[in-house]
Amino acid sequence: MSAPIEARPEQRVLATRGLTVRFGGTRAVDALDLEVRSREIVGLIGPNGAGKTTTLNACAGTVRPAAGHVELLGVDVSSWTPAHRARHGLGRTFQRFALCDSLAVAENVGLAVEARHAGGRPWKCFLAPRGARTAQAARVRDALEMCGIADLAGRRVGSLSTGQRRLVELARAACGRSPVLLLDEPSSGLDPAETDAFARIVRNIVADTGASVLVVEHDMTLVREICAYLYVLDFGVHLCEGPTEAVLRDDRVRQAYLGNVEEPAHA
Amino acid sequence: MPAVNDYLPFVVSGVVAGSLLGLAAVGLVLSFRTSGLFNFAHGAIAAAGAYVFYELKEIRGLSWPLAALLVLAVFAPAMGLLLERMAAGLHGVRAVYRIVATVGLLLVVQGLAAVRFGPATIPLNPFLPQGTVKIAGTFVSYEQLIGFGIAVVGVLGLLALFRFTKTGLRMRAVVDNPQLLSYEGDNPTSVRRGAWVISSVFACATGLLLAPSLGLDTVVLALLVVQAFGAAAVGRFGSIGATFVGGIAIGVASTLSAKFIGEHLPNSPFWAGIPDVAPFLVLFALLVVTPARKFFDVPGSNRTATGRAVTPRLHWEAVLALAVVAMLVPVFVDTSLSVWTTAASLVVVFLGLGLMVWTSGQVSLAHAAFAAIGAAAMSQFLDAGLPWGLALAAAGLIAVPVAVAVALPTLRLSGLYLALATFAFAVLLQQLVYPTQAMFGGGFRAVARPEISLFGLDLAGDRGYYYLCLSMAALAAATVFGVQRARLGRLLQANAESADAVAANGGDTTTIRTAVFCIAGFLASIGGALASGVTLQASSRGYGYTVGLTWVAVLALFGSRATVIRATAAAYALAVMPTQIHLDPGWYTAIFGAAAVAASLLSDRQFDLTRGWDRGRVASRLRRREFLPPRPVARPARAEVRA
Amino acid sequence: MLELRNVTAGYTGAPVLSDVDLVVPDGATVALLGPNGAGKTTLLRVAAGTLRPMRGTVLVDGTDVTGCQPHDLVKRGVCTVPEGRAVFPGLTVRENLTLFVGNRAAELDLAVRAFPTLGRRMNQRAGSMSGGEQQMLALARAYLQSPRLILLDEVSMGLAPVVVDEVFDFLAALRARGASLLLVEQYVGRALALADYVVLLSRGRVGFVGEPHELDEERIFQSYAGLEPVHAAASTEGAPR
Repeated sequence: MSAPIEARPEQRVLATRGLTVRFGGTRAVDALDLEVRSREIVGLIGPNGAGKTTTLNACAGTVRPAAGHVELLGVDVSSWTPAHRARHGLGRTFQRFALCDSLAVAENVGLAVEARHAGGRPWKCFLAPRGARTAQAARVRDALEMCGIADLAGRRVGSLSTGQRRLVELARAACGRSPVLLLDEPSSGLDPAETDAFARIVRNIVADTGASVLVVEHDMTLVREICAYLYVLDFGVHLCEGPTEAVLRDDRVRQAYLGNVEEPAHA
Repeated sequence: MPAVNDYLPFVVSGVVAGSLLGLAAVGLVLSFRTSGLFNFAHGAIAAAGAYVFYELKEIRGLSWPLAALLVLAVFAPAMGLLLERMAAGLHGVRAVYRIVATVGLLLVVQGLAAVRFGPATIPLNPFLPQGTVKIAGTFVSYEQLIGFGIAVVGVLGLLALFRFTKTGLRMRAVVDNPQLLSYEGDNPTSVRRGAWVISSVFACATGLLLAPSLGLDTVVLALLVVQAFGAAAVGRFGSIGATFVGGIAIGVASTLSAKFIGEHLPNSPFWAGIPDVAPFLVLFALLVVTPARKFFDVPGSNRTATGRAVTPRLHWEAVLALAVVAMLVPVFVDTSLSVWTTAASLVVVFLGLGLMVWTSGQVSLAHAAFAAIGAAAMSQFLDAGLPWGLALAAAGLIAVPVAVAVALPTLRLSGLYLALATFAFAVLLQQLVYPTQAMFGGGFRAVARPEISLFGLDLAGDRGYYYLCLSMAALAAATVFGVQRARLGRLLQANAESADAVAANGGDTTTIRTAVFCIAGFLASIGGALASGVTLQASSRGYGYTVGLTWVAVLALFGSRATVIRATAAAYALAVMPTQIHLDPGWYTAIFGAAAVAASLLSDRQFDLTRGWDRGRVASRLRRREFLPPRPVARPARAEVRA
Repeated sequence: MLELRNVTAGYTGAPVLSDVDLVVPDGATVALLGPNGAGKTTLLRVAAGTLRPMRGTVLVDGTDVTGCQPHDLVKRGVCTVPEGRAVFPGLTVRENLTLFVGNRAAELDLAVRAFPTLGRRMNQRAGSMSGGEQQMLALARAYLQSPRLILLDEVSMGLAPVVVDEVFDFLAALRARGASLLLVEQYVGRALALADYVVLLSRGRVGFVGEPHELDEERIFQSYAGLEPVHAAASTEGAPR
């Protein structure tokens, strides 16, 4: 179930240093230092309002920090646009989905390859050479198979269920072969069976492509299943970090966050 | 040293005019905030109020207080209620159609006014007391004082309403979360009605108070109050107080700059135009400079898809039939062939516009300006001695840097503000640049046709030129189709539906949209150059901002896909129909406008939760298209997981 | 209190709910469960008046209210807490509460006493509060309107477990005041603990109606095809299947 407790890998792929984000007067994130190491799945948990999604958005570039730096694969990307960071190796999924409902699954996933070109050299956004199209199709197929939705390739995304759409977004992120993936509350809207399947797919992606993942989550089952290391935020401040089980058993964390652990309900 | 007294009268008149502008702008912002619909026809409502007043007072002989009362207490509220219904009908409609609808309304008012009252400016006798009183060393008329007073009272009253009454609170709440307001027990519709009525009354009041000094002229009045957009921009389309103050500031800047330019730069047509367009300069500058997030946005609008991603398919039979018909036209038409040639050149324009509007979700209200640039440039290059083909290509290319200059700073704005920016650009170009030597210089320029014979056809002759334009149109169609099927097309489609998705995967949306803007501008320019060759002259007439609006309205009539056939249909409807069925041109403007409004109301939309299934069902029956609902799905296929 | 008879409803095209009968007795709490896509939110929307059913009737206190708008239903004592955060983000907390109940100082005091966190943030923009605080504000409305029927759509979505505890405590308090509750919940265990009756929806039809203790795990398994009866259980709980 949970990853064996072992030493963290050496190489750092994503890091924030002193990250501070302010919304109006409140400090959503306060001087956060966070690291994701190579091939690691790191969880970011915390009570609501803790600043988890904000941290993710700051890493992705959609939110401007008031202070601090974001480092991606050894480069300081603090002033880069989200598209620029994506081209440098950052993939992400969205809590509320960013999918093209009118397009087919395969076309959505293919965006991971196509969009990259519009932003590199401007002329590249016009045409795709023939060889590139077949290569792209192959990559899309691989990503779909990895996520177990190969049979949905031709379906319109708008007709899919929430669980399937989560997988499409994940497939798109995987298709981009990004070394660093940001997942934003991926289990939101999934029932436990779907969450379970999702966890297995994420682990497979990490194993196959060597990606590293930072996942923001509320669902403790998913967190236990995939995360090796956890950071806990409370009111934007770093509360605690460490291997998953240790953190979940930490008294401070339990107090601030877990509260009464759910008991199996027998009415 | 200029004496203060020299400038004081200008300051006073600037303050008065500005306060009226501010009043109109406040009305605009109010309706925008409460119903999420930006009313491009706000100025036309003001003009309509003034026209109704004229009708009642001068033609029917009513006294001015009675006429004014009827306008403000009956006509204005009625318009407000009508607008509320229209806004409600546009709920859930795509952003493009929301713009097209009010643009259509603007055209309807302009057209009807032209039909009823003729195109000339009608002087309106002043009806308010004309005496003057001396204040601070300068003479101020009672009319000016009353105008200023009404504006101030109106705006202060509204601010008080917002701050101190529950109605005002409800108006703010309905912007934030209209469905929740319903759950509170308040009917959002009645809240919105109130806002639209107030907005309408403010607009009509402004029209009544400005008409005596400007005369009744739909274009001038509509334009003047449209200048209220500039004041609204100062308030970032959200803050009422700032909007009003902005209006006053713009008014003063206008009059002061008029005096200054009149004294120091009397002979330049460029500078002479500046005071009139100061509000537009302000609008354009603010749109470009302000950080996008500071503008008020309709909640959720940036998450709404601006377009739909559809892969274009080539309908061989239809296109072939169309080509055959087009080639046979000169056989059947003799004297009015020039009309068909103009239509062919318009096809080029519409192809680019369609690509931009439907595939990219960006509405450009400035396309006529690009066509004007093409026509003027063509003439310039021909004068300079370039061969015809090169001159045409150069005319097209010269539009590209202009497109980039307009696009780059404004593309980060959402669809509505982009449309506004293009609108401001169109007006600016028309007022400031058309009269200069670089373009039309207040007159017209000669444009020649190619002196070549090809396949035994004299291209300078009517028939030859027709086939030349036709082949250009075919070339443009092939190019646009190619772009849509290529990577850029795919990226455009994806970007229209989910810009987040494209950005998160490395796609620079600015690059994509600038590229499309450039293509559209290029094609518009070429179309304009070709069209000028029909009449052998290029003048500013025919490229006014109204033309740009009409183009968008007509384009919207032919569905929401960027296909060759639809672009062709739109072009021919615009160019050929008016010559076949002879009506007052005002009627055509009104008809196109009304049709655009209807098309917007009937367009397919995201499912409208507040009305239940009826509406969706009717719409789908009308269109025989399947909306895909959130069906209960069979348990999703379980993920194949490797061991 | 609330009755749905033969309700068929959907958006466009095929209906999402087919022939659904549902009764919420006075003062009772009914939990509406089912897998994703079963039509739970659609059913709540029909009950709230947001969505007009294609067929069937909705009755509140015996009166036919099918097709009534939500603001009409509020007068009949129906309070809806929709999915997401049901607040006005651009208004301050005080203004939100004022809209809920008017400016009566007594009512506002009541709200502040019940929700001290809100009391501290009266002049803060609701949109800048955390998700949990916004949800508290949304629920304050349910408290202040003293409704007879409360419709709740996944109020615990996206909230931390300790906040979910507070929410359910609060729901129990509402129930103690005599209100009827119809709630859609993803935390099956908590919903079962709170409810008097359970309705299981599957593919737009009612699969099971009864009391929580009648609902055995097998039944739930069948319906959810592999769902654990307890959400977010400790890892010692067996994996599905």
